[in-house]
Amino acid sequence: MKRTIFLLAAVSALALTSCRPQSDDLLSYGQNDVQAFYDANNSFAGEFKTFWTAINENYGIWDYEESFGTDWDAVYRTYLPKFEELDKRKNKVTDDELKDLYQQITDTLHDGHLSMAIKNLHTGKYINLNPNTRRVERERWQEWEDLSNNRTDLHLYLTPEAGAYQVKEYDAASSNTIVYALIDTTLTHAVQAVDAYIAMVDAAGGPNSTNDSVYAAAQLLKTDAEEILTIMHTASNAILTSWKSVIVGKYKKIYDKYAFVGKQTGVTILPVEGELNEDILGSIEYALFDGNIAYMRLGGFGLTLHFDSAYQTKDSASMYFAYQQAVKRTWQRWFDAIQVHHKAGDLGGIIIDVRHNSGGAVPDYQWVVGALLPSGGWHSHTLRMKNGIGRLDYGPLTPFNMQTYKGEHEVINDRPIVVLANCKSISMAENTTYGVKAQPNGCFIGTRTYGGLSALAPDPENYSDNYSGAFGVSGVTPVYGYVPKFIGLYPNENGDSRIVEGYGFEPDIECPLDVNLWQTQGRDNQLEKAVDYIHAK
Amino acid sequence: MKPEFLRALLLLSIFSFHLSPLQAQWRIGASGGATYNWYSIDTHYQTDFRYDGAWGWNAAVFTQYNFFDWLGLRAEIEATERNHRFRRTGIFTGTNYTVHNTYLQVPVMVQFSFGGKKVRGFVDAGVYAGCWLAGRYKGTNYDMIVNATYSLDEPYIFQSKKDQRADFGLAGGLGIEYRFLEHWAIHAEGRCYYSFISTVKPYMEIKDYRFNTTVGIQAGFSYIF
Repeated sequence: MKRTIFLLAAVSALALTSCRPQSDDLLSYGQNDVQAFYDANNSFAGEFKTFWTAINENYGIWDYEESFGTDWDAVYRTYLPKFEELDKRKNKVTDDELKDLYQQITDTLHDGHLSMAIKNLHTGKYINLNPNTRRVERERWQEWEDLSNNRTDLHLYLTPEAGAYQVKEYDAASSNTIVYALIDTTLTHAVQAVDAYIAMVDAAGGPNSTNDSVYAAAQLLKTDAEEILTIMHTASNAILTSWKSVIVGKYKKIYDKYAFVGKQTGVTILPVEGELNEDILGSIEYALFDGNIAYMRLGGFGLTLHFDSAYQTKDSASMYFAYQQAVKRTWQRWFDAIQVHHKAGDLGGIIIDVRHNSGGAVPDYQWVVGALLPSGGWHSHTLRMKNGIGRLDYGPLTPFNMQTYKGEHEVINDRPIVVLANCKSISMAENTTYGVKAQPNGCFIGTRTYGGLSALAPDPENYSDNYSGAFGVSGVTPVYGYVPKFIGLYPNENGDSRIVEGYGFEPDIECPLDVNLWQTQGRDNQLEKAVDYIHAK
Repeated sequence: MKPEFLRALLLLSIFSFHLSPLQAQWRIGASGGATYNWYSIDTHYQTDFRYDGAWGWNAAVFTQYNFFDWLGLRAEIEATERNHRFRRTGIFTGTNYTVHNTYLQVPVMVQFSFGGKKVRGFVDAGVYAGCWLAGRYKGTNYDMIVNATYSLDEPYIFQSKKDQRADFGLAGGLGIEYRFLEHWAIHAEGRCYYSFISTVKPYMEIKDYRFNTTVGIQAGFSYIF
């Protein structure tokens, strides 16, 4: 009996060890991989499955999405049949209808940086999905419209009647201005030279076999140049800023296509220096208001690229060199004004303006908010990263310490610091806003920020850092996801961590831009509010 | 439950209580020791993720009723750690931490024993049920943003949607007992717990399971009534 019981126990134990189920087999979508993207290249259903699985594994805020009622598994069950229907259809699937279907899904997602590109297998074109921009447009459309159509660069008004808002010192640098001035000047001269050349050829009896190709090219050059000039002379600053790459791209085509007509026509097309075109800072302005209020506005965050010797150009004859010098000079004047007036005890306060700032380099913190805080870094918030293929697999929280200014400097903890931001303040602009807002002497004036805080590492080479974040290859794989990998958790008033994706930070003092005041009098009520706030302290 | 099975159980109970005092004995005791846990996880394409086994501790109180000198039924209340180590290779070697998981569990095992009056060997076989109590990360983590390694000691944040608190599986052991007084004995035992419950719930359309297998080396004493 003993032996039988022993035997039964041993056999039962061995049999039970086979009770563990197996996990599904998964492939990586981190880069262009034939096997992983095979189904996506061959059917709409396969493409949807790839999209769904890749987002499932790489997206970092599923717990946050679930708090809004998103059920990603239900999305799969609901939408897969719809894509299978597309595969069965005989007529072509249009870009608009594919986009509409995917937007129904992605519009529920809140990550501020998330964007997707899905290839329409019938037309070969990519549809782009930007859920948070659509959310801001949808939920705050009036402000978005006002800001999109009226202004981007705040040019400080220096009217005599401004009184308390008078500016004692001013400096600025703008790569956008340099690039647009170059394109404007070059193309205006080109059109004039082409007109003169065509008139000359016409006067000589029209084109002949020796000059007919140049004559035809000159006419085309004029048409293309006038198209760009029309855009530049009629578009708002906002459009010019957001279309910068498009306009520069068109200009480059002219440079490549018509350079050969230069000798005969007298047209000289100057190239746009690559660094100027790729500059993410865009512009910087410094002003010192009455009462020694030091103001700095940044179009983007790219100061580190100008301050770090590794990125500085050595070509002193280039426009980029002159621009870099102007950037350094402008920032230095802001920094020096703070040092001088704080030491003298007559610093009124500081205004950091990140309205319409779409973000950029995180190390810039040391030159902006970090230049007002003690050296050694400042613990801003914590980061969470995915650590597994599961939707809710996260690793330990990582402290996110922002760099502060390393050299000797004044710590500004006794005078007000104001940050101006709006719904077009994105990413690093929002981190800067939070950095000021979190200081005891900090105040955020303006309107709620965009809501895109989590950081990216979109290069496919960086995918294996966490096996999460951006996946696929833009313009190559049928599904591409520009997905953040570092999820920011920011303390609230009670010290509890929270995600603010798709929402942003609330201002301490709500103050929307008075569009009418701006359009009719050129006055900036948000900036005036900041100056008034500091004067009242 | 079928009536036949209940009837058999009742008969066994009556029979057990009519055994001679030498054969039918209650005992209580306590034991403690070290555990070593393996975490079974499919790392899929995460090729440099390494999940290694890790040491922990356990402590238990138990009671046992012997039907015969060779057959007993043992039940324990046990606190135990099922830890595992996570590390990465290459430029991420700074990531090397242990995930400490504390469980409270109740193994119920049949004990077969053999040998002489003073020194006896025994084999335990049964099942256990338990629940996860707490978790903690301890070690170092690589911060890729600032390219530095920092020390880590922070609680694991339990996610009820994903994390499985309940645990159930096979329990078994092999040990030796020395009865040094009429009512007192000490023992040493090697134990194994084989979980059937994934540490993550099937909360996704995609199935991804993770399991603990724990071995323990423990020693203890018992008082025999």
